[in-house]
Order: sequence, then structure tokens, then C-alpha cells
Amino acid sequence: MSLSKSSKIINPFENDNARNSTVEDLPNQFVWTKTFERLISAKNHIVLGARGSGKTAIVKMLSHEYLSKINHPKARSIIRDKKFVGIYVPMRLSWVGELKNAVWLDNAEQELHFKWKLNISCCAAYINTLRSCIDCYFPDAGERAHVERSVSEKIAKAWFDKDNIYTLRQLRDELGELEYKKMLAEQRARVDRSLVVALIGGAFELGLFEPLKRAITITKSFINFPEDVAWAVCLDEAEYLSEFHHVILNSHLRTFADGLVFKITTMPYKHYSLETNTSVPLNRKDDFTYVYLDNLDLVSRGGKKDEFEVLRRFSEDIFDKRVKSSSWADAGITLQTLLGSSYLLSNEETVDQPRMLSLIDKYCNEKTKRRAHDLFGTKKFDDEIGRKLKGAILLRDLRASHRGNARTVAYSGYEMVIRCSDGNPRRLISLLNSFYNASSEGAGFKPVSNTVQDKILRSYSYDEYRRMVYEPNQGEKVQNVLSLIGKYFQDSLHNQKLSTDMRLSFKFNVNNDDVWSVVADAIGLGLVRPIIERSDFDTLPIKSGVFRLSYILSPHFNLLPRRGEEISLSSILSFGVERGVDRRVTSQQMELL
Amino acid sequence: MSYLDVNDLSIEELDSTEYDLSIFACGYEERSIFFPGLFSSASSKVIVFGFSDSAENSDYKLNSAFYSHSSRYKVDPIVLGYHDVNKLFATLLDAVENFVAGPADSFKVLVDYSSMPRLWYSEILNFIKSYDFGVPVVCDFVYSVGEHVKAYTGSQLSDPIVLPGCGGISTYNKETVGIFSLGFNEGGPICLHRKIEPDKTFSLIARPGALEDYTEKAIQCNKVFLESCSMGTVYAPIDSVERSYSILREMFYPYLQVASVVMVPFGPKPHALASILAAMNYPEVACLYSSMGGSGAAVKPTTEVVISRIKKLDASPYIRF
Repeated sequence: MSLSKSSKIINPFENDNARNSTVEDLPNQFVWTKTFERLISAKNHIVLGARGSGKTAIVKMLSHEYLSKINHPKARSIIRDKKFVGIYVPMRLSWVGELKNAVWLDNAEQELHFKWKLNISCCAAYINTLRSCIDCYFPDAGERAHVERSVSEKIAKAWFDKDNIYTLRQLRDELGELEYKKMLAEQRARVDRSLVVALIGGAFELGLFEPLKRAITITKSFINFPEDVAWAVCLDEAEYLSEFHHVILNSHLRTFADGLVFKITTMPYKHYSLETNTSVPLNRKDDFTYVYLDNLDLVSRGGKKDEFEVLRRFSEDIFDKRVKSSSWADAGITLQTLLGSSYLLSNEETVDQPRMLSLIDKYCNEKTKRRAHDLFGTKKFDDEIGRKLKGAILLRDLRASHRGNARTVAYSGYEMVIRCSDGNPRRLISLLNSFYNASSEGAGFKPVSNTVQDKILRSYSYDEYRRMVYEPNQGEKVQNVLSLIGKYFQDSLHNQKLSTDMRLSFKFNVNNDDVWSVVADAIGLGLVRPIIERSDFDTLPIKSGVFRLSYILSPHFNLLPRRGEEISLSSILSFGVERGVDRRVTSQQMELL
Repeated sequence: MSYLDVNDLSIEELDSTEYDLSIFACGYEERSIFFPGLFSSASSKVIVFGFSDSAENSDYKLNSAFYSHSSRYKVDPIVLGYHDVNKLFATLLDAVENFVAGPADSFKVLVDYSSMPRLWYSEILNFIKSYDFGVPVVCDFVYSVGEHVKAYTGSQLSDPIVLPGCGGISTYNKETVGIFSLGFNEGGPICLHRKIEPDKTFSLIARPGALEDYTEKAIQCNKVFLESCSMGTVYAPIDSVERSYSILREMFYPYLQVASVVMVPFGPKPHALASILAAMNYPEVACLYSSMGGSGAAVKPTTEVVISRIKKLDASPYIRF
């Protein structure tokens, strides 16, 4: 397949992270979803999603700067009608990390410090929004310059009580200088208690979001917005904040603040509290709504369709968008032609009944064997036994017959790659990037052989497993517990007699907060997925429910990427003690049971 | 606004200086007493910080006995927890409060940071930067180059924090540039890279390193990071903080007032010191770190020392374009 001569990007999968996407490429690559549309409203939302699930892409796209660039009829109408103005505020680790080391401040000072820093960040982010609004609503260059001058002058007066600031650039530089002065003064105050830090940047001490609201009011006097316009503060990566900070933010979610609404992204279980600074905590339905990205959108897009069909459509959308915005747009490539079909999972790869029966005789329990023999030669054999067992039994046979370092093909093919990426955009794009670069004759789009795919998937899977140990707080525990669970399922699939009910999920039945917090962290990292009832997609289970390992871990543990039947977590922990698998971890957990 | 200017220093120059305050750290590493045993200049006051979580370590006990009994200092370590920067700060405040300077005087501090966590020596520099001594301040940082006898194994990171005095302003946060100084542990940089998610990432590796093969070893340890995260690798010598600082400045200068720059110093301590200085001198630069804990192994001194003189200036000597 040949590459068209254009200035577009060559490798469409090089950038797997929305954080690094520019205002030029993200709108072209973004997949417009129902969840995204739901967020374009005057309501408070807390968006929950595992790492790589697309949280940043979503809140970035909500911002005026990005939304105004997307080629979608609804986006065009929202921007034209000025009904929704998003302000993207990244809560970067590089400044949130500073909040954590200010150990010399008492609680009241910590609160002031946080509010001050967040006010500055919001105002810096607002300058981007303002730039976008002026560029969008004033096509005439002269008029644009005039509005910029007038707005900058007025905002500068409000924020700094200063004259002679006429551009947004000057406004930003002034903000930067003030922030630095404040930071230095805070450190100096540690050695000189007589220093009054509050005197620096007093306008930003007034109250959280107050300077932002003031700037919005000023903007409204130069740009006509309808009365019901929603100004959405999109706070990204709130998981880096602490419970203390969340309580402060929650207090603002309780009140409708002059048209300000909040869209806050965080990892599952990392909205640390519903408490506010008043006596009344947040009410989930009245004050805000949770939006859980990892499940909701996939299912809502599929309606009653099965899980794979939803994953398939989502993956195809991402692939098509990326390819269309690259130099390969006219090359006619598809995900299917690139990957071929999966030996284990594709319906096109059939196994005839006699071979299936011989494999069942070899690997299944007596009950399954009897049933298979009874149904042999009928369509029911395929429907009730063949289809259910095919993937697992072929995987087991491949592993059982594998010799030495012979190449394997189990983890390859269109269906396998889609399942292993688990609806996680970053994972899918990373895998596609590896496939793109895997060609020995230079990077590009050529069908990737099954052995190469298998190698890449196994290596990616192992990296995910290996690297979880480094995660702060309890990476070691997460790795220990997931290792045990993975090995349990591996043992069931490869060493025990099989039935049509394969166990590949676990039910949380352990009454222990420590074990639960490990599972919750693993969900946040995208390594475990809760299996959520269709009736309530927004509700994450707490200390109960059924979970499965993320399918990306399947190649490492030699598992089939299917949810299967559930087994209690306590049984898995007992297996560890009895069989000497991760015994040390298991023993500790068993003592707690 | 004050500026911390750094220059390399010879041992001869150091020997001819009399210090108002000398600060050492007592840990489990063998090298934590190498330079203090060599150091012969006079010092009006000596502070030794000890690690509370190493109290039962046999090497720590030997090193502690050196400071308390067998050395010329006869000072018991002040025991600190890893995160106890408040106590460290208060100790420094106590130590300098009674300093009375003559009109032609300067305040001279010596810091042996060979066995100090980055958090501690960053706090020491932060204190020096923030405290008004009323006279010029000269701070000599000494590092005993170490030989790592035990390979690092994968271990969990601590919660990432911005080092004291190393916060960056958030005003130019539309983009982030990450500069990762790399050592022998691959997991830390990859894990923090996933959290910081820089738009552009560069790597810094020591060349020459502490020993002949350490550059290659660092490249091998960080192969995945260099291939999948980093856009380019720059080399800086371990034995010159002055040169390392200058190289770092060249790396981040084009991004000032355009992006937030985040330094992540997993590499050797002289590189970490250069990163800390950059963060303290430039508002847009932050220095973020997450400790992997010590290896627990006795890091031996190679007997080489890297000495850097940091002067606190009233303003940056460089013109900023």
C-alpha cells in the first residue's frame, strides 16, 4: 500500500496520548461519543476512567479551543450559538506535587495555598479560552485586536490592579511573574514569619474561582453570550489531589456558581470524598453525576449488541479516524487486512466436529465429554459446546504442544488485538504503533504476520504486568495479588479438566479493606475491570461485585480474553496457600480472612 | 530575585576555605564517611543528619560511631525521617540564627550530599536561597562518587513530590517538557513519564559516569525508556555540576515561557543537583522526584570527589531573551 504525497503525519499511531495531542490533530482523531455529548451540558460531572481510557481527550475536547476545531455538526452549532464554553485546566503533577510537600503549612494555610494555585491555573487556562473565543467570534483582524486590547486591559486591572497591559500574552506573563513572586515569598516566610504572603496577588486570595468569574464577566461585556451559557471548568487528573482538596472542590459542586459548572476527571475510586466544607455532603444526583468511561460508552454505543461488537466498532472508529488524518488516508487500508483473523477467536476459523471432539476427549471433564459425544454430529454440538470451548481448547492445545522456543501465534489476529486492547484507546493505539513499526523493511502498513503480532502482544502484556510494581502507594501489592489471580486462572485453563463454564472472573467476597484497596487501585490502573450491571453503568462496585483481569494481561498469563464464569476471591487466595503460588502474599491475606 | 550560580571547585580550593557550617549525612552507605574523613578545613559548626529508618543497619551504626566518637567532629547524628524536611529546616534555622557577620564577611557552608536524599539537599539549598544572611553566601557541595556493588531490583516508588523550592509556575502549562536524568533503575522514569505525560521528553545520562562502564549500563537499563519515551539523549559528565547545569540550560531554554519544564532526576546526584539548581533559578522549571528507596547495599566510594561551589547572587548574571 502506497503513501500519498502530503504534509500529513506519516505514522498515525505515533502519539498514543491525548495529553500530547495538539489542537490541530486531536479534533481530527477524536471519536465523538454519546458520553462526550452528555458532558456538553450545564451540569456537574465527575468523569471516572482508568489510565488510558480517554479522560484527557474528552475534557480537552470540551474546551472551546478544541471544540471549535472539530468537524462535527453538533460542535459547530454549540460554538456558533455560544451555549457552552469549556476551559481546560490540567492539574499537572508538577504543581500538584508541590502541594504535597508544603508540610510546614497548617490546614487553613494549605487551603489558602491550594485555592491560590488553582485560581492562577484556572486564569492561565482561561487565557487560552479567551484567545479561542476572540479568534472564533471576530473574523476581522482589526476588530480582534481591538477586543483583545480592551479585554486584556480590563482583566489586568481586575487581577493585578495594573494598567498598560494590552495583550493576552502580557496578561499571561504578568500572571507568571506574580505566581513566581508568591512562590518565593512562601519559602521566605518559612524563615521570616513576619512576612505577609497574602499581600502578593491579593485578587487571587478572594475565593476559589472568583478571579476566573470576574474575567468571565468582563469577557461578557465584549462578546455577546446568551444568558444560559454554561462556562465549564474542566479539571483534568484530579486523582493527584488529596481528599482534603476534593472536599474543597466538592463545596463548589454544591452550588450553582454564576453559570460555572465543573467537569472533573479522575481515576475510578479516586473521587476521595463526598464531603464538603459545609455540613451537607454532595448528593450524587442533585449536585453532580458520575460518568464511568470504561464501561458506559462501549455499552451505550452497542445497545444490545455483544461485548465484542461494541469493542470492534470502537476500535474501528479510532483506527479510521487516525488513518484518515494521516498520509495513508487514500491507501484503502483496514484494520482487518492489517491483522488478519484470529486463530482462537475468529468465527471464520472453524474447527471441524471430529477434531473438536478429539480435543474435548483430551482436555475436558467427564460431564463435558459425555455431552459432546451425545451431541456429536448435530448443530447443537457447535452451538452449545464447540463455540463455547473452541478458543480455550485451542489455546490449551497450542500450549500443550508447544516445544522449545518455537514461534507461537495464539495472541494474534483482528479479534484478539481488539479484545486485548479492551476498549482502552491508548492501549489500542500503542499496539497499532508497534505493529506499524514492526515491519522489517521499514515502518508502514503491511499485513503483520501472526508470529510478530503474538510477540508484540506478549511483550506488551508482560510490560504491563512488570511495571505495575513501580506504582506509588501499593504497586508491589497490586502486582502480587494480580499475579496470584492470573496464575489461578492459568492453572484452571491449562492444568485442570475443562468444562464449558470457564472461570476467568472473580467475585470479591473478602471482608478486608486492604485487599479491596488493592483491587480498587488495579481498576484505576486499568489492570482489572469491574463487570457492571447494565442497569447502572455509572455505579462502581464497592467491596463487592464481579471483576476480571484486563484482557491485556491475557497473553502474559496465557489466558483467553473472555470474562467467563466467576470464582470467589477467597478460593483464589486458598489456592495460593495450597499450591505454593505466591504463598507469601496469600498467607498474609489468609490471616486476615 | 536571587540566583544560585554554580562553578566547579578543586579540592585544594576547598581545603583552603574555613566554613561557618558543615552539613553531613550519616547513612548505611560506606561512602557517607569517606569525605568527612578526608576533610581537614576548620568549621565553626557541624551538623550530621542520620536516617531514622537505618537505625538498625550495621553499616549505619559504624558510620554513626565515626561521627560521634572516632572522627574529629564528635557530633551525634540528628535523626530524621525521609520526609522530615520541617525538622531539617528548623535545625538549619537554629544553626544560623546566632551568626553575626562582620562587614567584609561571607557565610560559608559545606554540604556533603553523597548519602543525602534529594529531598534533603534540595531543602538545604532552599533554605540557603530563602534565608537572608545579610552577607554573600558561598555553599560548597561535595559528592563522593560511588560504586554500586548491588544491582537495583524493581521496587515501588514513593508518592511523587516537587522537591522543596523547586516548584514551577503553572502559567505556561499548555505544554510540558520532561527532562529525565537516568540512572540504573528503569521503572522509575517510565512510571513517572506515564504520570507527567510530557509533550516532549529528553534524557540526560552521565558520560563519563562514575566508572568506565556506567554510561553503557545506564543506556541498557533504560533501553525501553530511551526507545519509547525519549526524543533525544544528551550526555553530561558526572564530575562537573557546572557543565551539567549548563547543558540542562541549553536543553530547556528554548521552552521557557512556552511550556512547563519538569526535571525528573533519577540519575547520579551531581545531575540531580544541577536539576535542582535549574528549578530554583527558572520560574518555569520544576523538579519532581519519587524515591525508589535505597538499595540497602553498601555503596563504596571510588575515592573521587566532585566539588561544586554555589554562590547566592542577587540576580541572574544572564540576559534573558
